[in-house]
Amino acid sequence: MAKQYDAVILGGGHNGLVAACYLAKAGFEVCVLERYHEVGGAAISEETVPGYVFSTGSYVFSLAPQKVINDLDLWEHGLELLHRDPRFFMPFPDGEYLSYWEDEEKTRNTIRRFSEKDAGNMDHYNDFIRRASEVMDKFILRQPPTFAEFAAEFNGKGDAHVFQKVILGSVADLVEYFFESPYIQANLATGGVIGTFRGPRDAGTAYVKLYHAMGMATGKRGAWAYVRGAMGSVTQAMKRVAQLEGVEIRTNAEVKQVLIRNGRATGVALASGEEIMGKAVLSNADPKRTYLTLVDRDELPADYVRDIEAIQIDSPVLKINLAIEELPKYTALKGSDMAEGYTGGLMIGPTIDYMQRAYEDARNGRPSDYPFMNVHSQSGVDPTVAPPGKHTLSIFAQYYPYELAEGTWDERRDEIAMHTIKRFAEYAPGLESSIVGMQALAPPDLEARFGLTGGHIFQGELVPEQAFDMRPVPGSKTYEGPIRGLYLCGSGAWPGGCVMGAPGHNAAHEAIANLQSGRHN
Amino acid sequence: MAKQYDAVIVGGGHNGFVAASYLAKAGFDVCVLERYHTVGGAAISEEIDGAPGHIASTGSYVLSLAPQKILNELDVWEHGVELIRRTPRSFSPLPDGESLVYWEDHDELLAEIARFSIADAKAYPHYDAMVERACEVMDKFILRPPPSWAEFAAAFNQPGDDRVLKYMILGSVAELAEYFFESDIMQGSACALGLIGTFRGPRDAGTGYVKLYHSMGMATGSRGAWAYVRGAMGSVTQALARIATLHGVEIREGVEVGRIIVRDGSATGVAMTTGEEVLGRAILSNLDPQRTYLSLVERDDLPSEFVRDIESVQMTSPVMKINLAMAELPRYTALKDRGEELGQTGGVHIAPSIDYLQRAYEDARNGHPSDYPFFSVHAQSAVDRSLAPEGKHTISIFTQYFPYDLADGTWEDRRADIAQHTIDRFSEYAPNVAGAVIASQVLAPPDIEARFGLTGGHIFQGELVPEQAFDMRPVPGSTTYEGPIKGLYLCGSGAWPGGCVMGAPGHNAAHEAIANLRNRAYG
Repeated sequence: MAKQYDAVILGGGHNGLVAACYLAKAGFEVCVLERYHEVGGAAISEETVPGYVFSTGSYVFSLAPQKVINDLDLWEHGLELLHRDPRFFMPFPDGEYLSYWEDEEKTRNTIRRFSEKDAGNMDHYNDFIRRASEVMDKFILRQPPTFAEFAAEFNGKGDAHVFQKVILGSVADLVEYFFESPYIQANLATGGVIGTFRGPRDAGTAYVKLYHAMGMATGKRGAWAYVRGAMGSVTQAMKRVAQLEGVEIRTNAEVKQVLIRNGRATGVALASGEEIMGKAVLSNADPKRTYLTLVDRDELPADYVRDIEAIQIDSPVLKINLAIEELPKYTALKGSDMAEGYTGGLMIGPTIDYMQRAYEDARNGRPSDYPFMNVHSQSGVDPTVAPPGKHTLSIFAQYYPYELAEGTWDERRDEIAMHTIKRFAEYAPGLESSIVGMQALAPPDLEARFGLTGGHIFQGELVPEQAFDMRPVPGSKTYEGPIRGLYLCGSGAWPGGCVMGAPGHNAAHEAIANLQSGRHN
Repeated sequence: MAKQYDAVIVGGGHNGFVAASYLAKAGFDVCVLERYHTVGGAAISEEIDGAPGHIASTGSYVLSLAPQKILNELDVWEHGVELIRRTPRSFSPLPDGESLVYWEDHDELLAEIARFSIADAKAYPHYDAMVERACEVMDKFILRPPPSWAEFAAAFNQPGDDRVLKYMILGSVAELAEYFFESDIMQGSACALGLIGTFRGPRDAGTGYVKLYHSMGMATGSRGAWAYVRGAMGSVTQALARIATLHGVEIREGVEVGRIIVRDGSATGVAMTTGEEVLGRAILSNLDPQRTYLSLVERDDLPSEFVRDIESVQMTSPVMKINLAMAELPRYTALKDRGEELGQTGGVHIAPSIDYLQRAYEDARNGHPSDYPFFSVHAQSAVDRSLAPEGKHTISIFTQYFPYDLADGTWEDRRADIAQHTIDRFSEYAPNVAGAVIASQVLAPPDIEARFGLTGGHIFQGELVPEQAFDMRPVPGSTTYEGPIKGLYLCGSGAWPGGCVMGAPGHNAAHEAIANLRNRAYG
């Protein structure tokens, strides 16, 4: 007879592992099933080119709540963050550049070069982000609030402004409200389009900006850090904790179907035919994959199927991982310390209009001619990821449609990747000749490699109308959908994406309560 | 000495008159000041230059949103407002010669939709129910001071309301359309009302709310129906002006307000461009928020944050209005075998697919007039013979997207060419149009601005999107109609609930002013 677990977790990404740890710590028997040969999901370190270790997917860390990190004792199990100063570096086509330093005064002085007025407005802007982040904080480690509950928290003086500019509006409106310099506007708008198939002028992108600015993993609001050994170190630490707590982890175990009897999930069937039974099934896979691929449609209300089908999950992301002989040499930094360019994240997106056009290209089926890019050379600060003297470079670029208007990704992947690299090399000439190896992951590749529908890195757009109890679908007040005992525990559920762990934490607590109350007996 | 009124109203548009009548009915002395030689604002009937007898609704062209309560309280039916219902409501031709007729009769409509998709016909009642539910929530907030977002969101408290909030309030009209419909034509025509007047594409969030706004009107008695007004839209404001006069309102035309007089933080009157001063205990501005606060008020009299908020009101208009005197009605290729009259009684929408509309928007976002524009076309003379000489016609072409600032050239240089290109595109559906034009009037965004005093040429005095609605209209924190200057109220479309010939901002602002006039100890 098949073994019966208390909880079976489908997918060993960071959220699956977080959920597994909490369930095991609560005394339940847990099994994690991972399709790939190693756990980690999209937070994984891989030696794609011999000697070079890449964060294949996700590449920096910020959003994991300290509570989750501490509850799981991840610091004791190998998680080490590498702080970055400056946080960001942004070169412009005219040779100008902008760095965002930890020292606020230093950043203000940088901004002053572009606009005295903008330097003066920085505090006011930061207050908006801080205020919105504080409201978000209240809702992260709990079940999804309704929109009305969330809106009602904005009840202080000036909060209507924050709600308008940071929750509802476009990131372009947000930055144009505070800043006059197109350089500063572009710089601060970049966070609003990450992973998102919208342009900076489209409503909803301010919330995307907020989401990326609210992380406290490093102890400093909105700071992003490298993880020593690349992002796989996060999930490897979680794996160790899970195993110490008695979680059984099986890799190369692809789930084909969620087993359902009388409206209740009873376990899963693997591609091999093997069945693994569990009182609760937590899916770390995205909502579409979970409900449209792994569950029989007949088991679901028709409305629910329609809602799941309607989730916005088009990804604009092309991820290029490069092994390189030497670090990029930025024209903008000629004559000064190149470390300013490779310590933190590098943004390319010199104006709001540039980014809007990049979006429009993809909206019309074409890869962006001039893409938005978020570039990281982790090896610059973490020598463990490349051979001595050599380097890695991660280019996270937008916008690239899943379906190309002309040709296919199989035909055009290398050409499109090389064009993107060429655009980047306009800021760092000579980069092309330094390339030792390359991995390019277009939206269909991200889908195939990580099982993320549409290649969407957040398992669905992180926009206001897909947040709160509308994530993944309207009416999602809990993590358990219409099938009793089947929970979503991944980024597709509230609060959402990035290597955060909150959906795993929240889903696990709901499942624990239900297991303890006997709901799943 | 200058005469002292209880209330001075700057601008004689429909909202200004609604406010004037309520104030006068409450017993106050009211004066309305209108810059143009005749009242009406953008709801006006005028003869097209060079075409005697051809009367056009120069700006606004159909009526739906005015609440029955206002129409009845002001007794407009007794003063000359006559609605002409449109059957069918609208008609959408497609480039391939197909067409969708939006019948008033439910079963007929479903049968029509089923010609394109049975699934769409089945989904239609669900779509309709979602729109209706959102309308019911909106109804609660129309004739009152602006609710906060939290109050509004909390009213979505019935089962299934989350979905309504997502699709009708927060999301894009494309998502709404795709949630219910699979055929291009149903998706495109469901999007049309989500774009009117709005510088966004159908895929942009916030357009679901624009759609709702244009679907909630009850002026005709049936939800979301739009009607012609006999004699064109000026009949509405002419009636409102008559009613105001009967209640003792003084109306002065051809007088432009140059400045609002502010003393010790309170508005005390207005100064005309002639230098003449007209004093009032309350000043209600029917002008848009930017014009009111940035042009008529000294900056020193305003908190700097308020100035910044007003400056950042989104009011970029995508609208070009073309009024044509015609030798004959448009004859649509798509109706050759169906009956040409089907395209002549209601509105005509050219909105063949979501992608078509999104591209039209993107052209303008990049500074170009839409090569293939979105159209809302009305041939009122087909059902109202008072608008054109015997055998002739007058048609209104409302079209998007056309940027205020062109990337190449200026509107002065290019107005005629761009209008001609637009008419030619329309003629692809009705080939007789291009050759039947007797005279035309073309209003691009800068022209609409100059003619009606609407900043940016924005027909709603600011985008009608969720982040500019509720107590965020015109700026965040607008829980009343009185801004930071005591006694100065906004009573136009730039205030909650917003645009279209509605009258609710005028009604609400007047009620607030009435209460304050009664309660406050004025100088």
